[in-house]
Amino acid sequence: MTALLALLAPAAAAAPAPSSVGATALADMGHLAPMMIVAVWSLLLLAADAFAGGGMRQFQRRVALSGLALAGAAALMQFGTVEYDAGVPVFSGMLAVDHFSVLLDLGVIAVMAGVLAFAGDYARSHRFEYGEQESLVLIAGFGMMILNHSTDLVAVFLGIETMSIAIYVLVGARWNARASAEAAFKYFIMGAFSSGLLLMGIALVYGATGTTHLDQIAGQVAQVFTQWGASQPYVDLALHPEGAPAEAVRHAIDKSVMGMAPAALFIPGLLLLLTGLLFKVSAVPFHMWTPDAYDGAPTPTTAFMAAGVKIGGFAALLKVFVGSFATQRLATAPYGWTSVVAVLALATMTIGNLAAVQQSNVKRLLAYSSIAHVGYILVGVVAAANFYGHAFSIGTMRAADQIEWSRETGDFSVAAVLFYVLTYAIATLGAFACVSWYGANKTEGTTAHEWSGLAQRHPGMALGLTICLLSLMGMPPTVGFFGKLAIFRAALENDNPMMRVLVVSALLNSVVGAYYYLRLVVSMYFRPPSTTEVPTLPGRGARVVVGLCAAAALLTGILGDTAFRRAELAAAGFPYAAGTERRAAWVDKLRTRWEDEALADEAAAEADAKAPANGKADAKAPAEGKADAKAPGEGKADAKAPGDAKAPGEAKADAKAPGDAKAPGGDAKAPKGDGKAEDVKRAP
Amino acid sequence: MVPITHFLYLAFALFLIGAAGVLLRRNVLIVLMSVELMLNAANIALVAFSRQWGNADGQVLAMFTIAVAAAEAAVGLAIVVSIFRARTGTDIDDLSLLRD
Repeated sequence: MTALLALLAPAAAAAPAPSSVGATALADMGHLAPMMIVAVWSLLLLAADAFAGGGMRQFQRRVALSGLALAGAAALMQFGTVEYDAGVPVFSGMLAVDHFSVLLDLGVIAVMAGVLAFAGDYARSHRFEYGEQESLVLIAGFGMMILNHSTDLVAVFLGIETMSIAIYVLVGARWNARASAEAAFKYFIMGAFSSGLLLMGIALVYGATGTTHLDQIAGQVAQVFTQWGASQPYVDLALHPEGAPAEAVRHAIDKSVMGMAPAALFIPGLLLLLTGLLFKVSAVPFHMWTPDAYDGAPTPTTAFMAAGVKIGGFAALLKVFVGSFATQRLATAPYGWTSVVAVLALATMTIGNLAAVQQSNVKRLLAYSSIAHVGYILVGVVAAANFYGHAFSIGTMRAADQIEWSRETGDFSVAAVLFYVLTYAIATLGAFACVSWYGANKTEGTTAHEWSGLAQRHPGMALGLTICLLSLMGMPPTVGFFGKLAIFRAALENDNPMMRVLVVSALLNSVVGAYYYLRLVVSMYFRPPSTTEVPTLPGRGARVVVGLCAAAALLTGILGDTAFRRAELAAAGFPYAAGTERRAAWVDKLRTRWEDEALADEAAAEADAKAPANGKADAKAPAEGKADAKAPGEGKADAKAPGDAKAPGEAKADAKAPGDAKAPGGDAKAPKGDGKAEDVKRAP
Repeated sequence: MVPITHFLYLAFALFLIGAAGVLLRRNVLIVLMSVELMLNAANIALVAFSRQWGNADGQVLAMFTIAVAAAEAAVGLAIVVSIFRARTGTDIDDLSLLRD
C-alpha cells in the first residue's frame, strides 16, 4: 500500500551531501528567492516605517510594490524550468521548491501586489492610515508562501501562524470603526482555537509516527495500521479470556494496548489536523467566523483574506491530506477522510450559496460566495485523494496501467484544484477591489441598493465588476467556467456514486450562485441609479486592479488550455516526494507526451490550413487517434466498475476525448477552438 | 521513570479544559487564556512524544510554538485593548455589531 512512499522516504532524506552547511543554506535561499525577497522587504519596510514616520507612506508603497515585482520576476524565472521538475528539498527537507509551490507563489505575489495597489488609498481615505500595512501584508504573504513550499508539519504550522497573526492585525487595523475590532476579535479567537486544534493534531500524528516530515509520515502510516492489525489476536484473547491462564490474559491486554496505541493517536490526530485546516479555508461547519470577519475588516484586507488565505490554506490542505494522507486506508476506505470531506463539501457549497442569496450587504454576499467556492474546491480535493488512494493500493490486485491511470487522473484533479483556486483568487480580488473603490471619506457603499445603476455613473467599473462576477459564477468566456469544468471533469472520472452526487449538487449550486451574482449585475445595469451618490476612492490603484483582474479573467479564459497546462505542470507527480528520481521520471514522461501532442496538433493545424473544406475531418483525426491510444484506459475503467452493465468504458473514453482535444492547445489556434466548442457542448 | 501516559493524560486534560474555556466562557480575557492553555497542552504532548521517540522533532516544534504563542498573545491582547477602548467591558456577548 504505502510501501512505495516508505521506499521514497530515505531517498528524499539522502539529498546531495553538501560540502558545508553555510553553502547549502545559501543555495537553499537561492532556491527560495521569491520568499526571501518578500521576507527581507517586509522587515525593511517595518524598519523604514519606524524611522521615517508618516511622511513617506507613498514611497513605502512603491518600495513594497517594487519588492513584489522583484519576487514575481524571480518566481517567473523558476517556473517551468527543468531544474525544478522533480522539486528541490531545501532547509533539511522542511520546505521544497517545485512547480506546484512556485505557481502558487506567483498567485500569492500577484494577490499581494493587487491588494497593496489600493490598500493605502483606502486607508488614507477612511482616515486610518498606518505605516505597517505594507509590511504586514508581506509578512502574511510570506506565511502563505511557507505553506506553498511546506513538506513538514512544522512548516505547515509556522506558515499558518505567520499568515494568520499578520492578518489578525490587518483585520483590526481600522481603529476608528468598532466593527473592525470586533471582526478582528472573532477572527482571532476562531483562528487561535483552530491553531490549537491543528497543533494538537500535529502532536498526535507525531506521537503515532515519530516524525513530522510529510513524506515519512506517509510511509509510517502503513506500519501504524499493520501494528493495529497484528494486535488483533491479542484483542480477541483479552476480550474473551475464558479458560486462558491469567498471565497470558495480562500479556494479551498489554499487547493489544501497545498495538492499538499508534492508531488511537493517529486517527484523532488526523481529524484534528483536518479540522484545523478546514477552519482556515472556512469550510462548513467551521465557517461561522467568515462573514463577520470579512464584513468588519477593511475591504482591502477582506480581498487579501478571500484570495490569499485561500491559496495558502488549500496549498496546506493539498500538501498534508492529498500529498501525505491519501493512502487507500486513510482516504478512500469506507471510514476514510474523503467521505467526511465529501459531505462537508456538499454542505459548504449549499449553505454558502443559500446564505449568500439572502444577503443585502455586498461584502457579506461575497463572503458567503467565497464559502460556496470552498465547497467546489473541496470536491476537487476529494477527487484527487480518491485517485491517489487508488494508485497507492499497489500489490493488492491492481494492474500497472491502472495505477498509472489513477496517478494521472490524480494529477489532473490537483491541477484542477490549483487552477480553480488561482482563478477564483483573481476574480474575487477584482470583486473586492471594486467594493473597496466604492466609497470614500468614511462612507462605504456596501448595501446592494447603493449599487443599482452603477453602470450609468461608472460604466468602466461596472463592466470590470461584471466580468469578475461572471467568472465567479462560471460563465463560459471567463476563466471561472474552465475552473469549474476542470473540477467537475476530474470528479466525474471517478465512477463512485458519491462523486456523481457531488457534481450534480455542485451544478445545481452554480445555478443558485448565478442567481445572486446576476441579481447584482442586473441591478447595476438595469435599475435607476440610487439618489444618494456614493463617493469613490481617490487614486487609480483600485481601478487598475479591477481592470487587470477582469482582463486576466477574460484572457486566461480565452487561453484556457495554455493556462491549464501550467497548472498541469505544477501538479505533475504531486504525491512523489520532492527531489526523487521517480518524480523526475514522471514529470519527464508527461513533458514528452505534451510535446508530442503539441507536434501532432501543429500537424493537424497545418492540414487544416491546407484543406479548409476537409478541415473538420482532418482535425478530428488526431483526436480519434488519441481516443484509440487510450484503449488501455478503457480497460481500466471496466476493471474499476466491474458490475456496471452500461459499458462504462465507453462513457469514460468519451469523457476523455474532449480532454485530449483540449489538451494540445499549446500554440496552434485552430484545434483549440474546436476543443472549446466541444467543451461548451458538453458542459450541461 | 514516569511513563508517557501520565504526560498524555495531563496534556489531554489541559487541552480539553482549554477548548471548553474557549467555547463556554464569556469573558474575553479568559477565552484568551484558554487558547494559551490549548497550545501549551499540545506542547506537553509534543515534548512527551519527543522523549518517547528519542528524536528532537517534537521539542523543536514546541520551541516554535512557544514563540508563536507569545506573538499570538501579544496580538490578541492588542485586539482586546482596542475593543475595551470602545466598550469598557470584556464580555463576548457584547460583540454583536456584525451579524446576519
